[in-house]
Amino acid sequence: MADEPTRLRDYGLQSERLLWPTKGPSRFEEELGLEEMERALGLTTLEKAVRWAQTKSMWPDTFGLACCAIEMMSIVSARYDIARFGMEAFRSSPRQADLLIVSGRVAHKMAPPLRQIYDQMLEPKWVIAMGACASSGGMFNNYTILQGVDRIVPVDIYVPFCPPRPEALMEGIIRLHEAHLAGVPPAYERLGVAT
Amino acid sequence: MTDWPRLPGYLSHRDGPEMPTVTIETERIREACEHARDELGFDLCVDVVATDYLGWGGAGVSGYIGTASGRDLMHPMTQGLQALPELKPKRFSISYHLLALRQGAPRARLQCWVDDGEHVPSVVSVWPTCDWHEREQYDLMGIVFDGHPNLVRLLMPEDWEGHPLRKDYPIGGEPVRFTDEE
Repeated sequence: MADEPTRLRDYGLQSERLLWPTKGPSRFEEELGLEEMERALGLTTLEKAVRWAQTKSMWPDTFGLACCAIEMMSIVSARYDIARFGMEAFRSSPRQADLLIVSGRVAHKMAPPLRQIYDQMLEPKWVIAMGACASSGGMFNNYTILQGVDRIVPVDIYVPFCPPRPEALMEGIIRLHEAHLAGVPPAYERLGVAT
Repeated sequence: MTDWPRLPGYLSHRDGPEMPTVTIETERIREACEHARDELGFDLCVDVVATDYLGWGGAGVSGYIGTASGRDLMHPMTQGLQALPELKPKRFSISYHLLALRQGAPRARLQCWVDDGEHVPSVVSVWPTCDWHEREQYDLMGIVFDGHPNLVRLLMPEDWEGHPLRKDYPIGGEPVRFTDEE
């Protein structure tokens, strides 16, 4: 199990993408070496097309728990517009959502509903642990707060800081998009855990 | 609001900067609250708060002490030094913060004292909003209210053991290792 790729760096992905309007292809695409050729020749495979479509409309689930929810709301606003990436449609029902952005501290009393929401989502699904509290319990190391949401759900992207700036959350989302485009399976598949 | 002694179970009262504090016998707190609501016009119970005074007066208090009217420069030894405060009658004080919805919005605090294990009459029949306030104090401080319709835990999980906001309850958490400094 140790040699199976579970982390993004095991796939050789170390890109540092920045939100430049004039940025060229990412390191992912350079490493794979396939995008340029395909773009030049106009060839796409069905799987690449499906992944492209999934990336361009990955609808998040409304799981704003605490202060990080404010920053998550602000990426829908006009300044940090996430509608550019087709993700402004936050679905309230987990049955219709692809992405679970756990934004905020998770109490032990909230952990079973969080797991239930994750279970109700349909594959493929991704989880972003937004902020310090969702990643590791944050500044709350006490009897109430779950020390890291990855204890109960498999997490794809951890976005640090307290709270992360909207651009930081968007960078996490875009890295998730790039990883999915590059062929990285979701976390539940990489870790081999139940969904 | 000078006729506080007419409250049932009245023991003493003290005027504070924001509101007067009236101490009531624990057994008659419900009657005192009914009197405050009906006769004195305090028709809104803002909060029911329990304070744990475990260890009060033991090792002394640091920080702002001062005189009853506030920090007084004419008495230099009363500022910020360790001094033994006056002892409290019992371990827990239950404070009922009341508000009258009329001109001037007068506020009042009815206070009763209990020890660990003593029961307090519930005031849900006087102000129904105290239902969740008393449940919160039962959950976090372990104060049992007699006559409460549904005294179960509110904030902690239902099967939690212990009362977290007491002074002798540990903060919990887990040890964290910072590997980059070692």
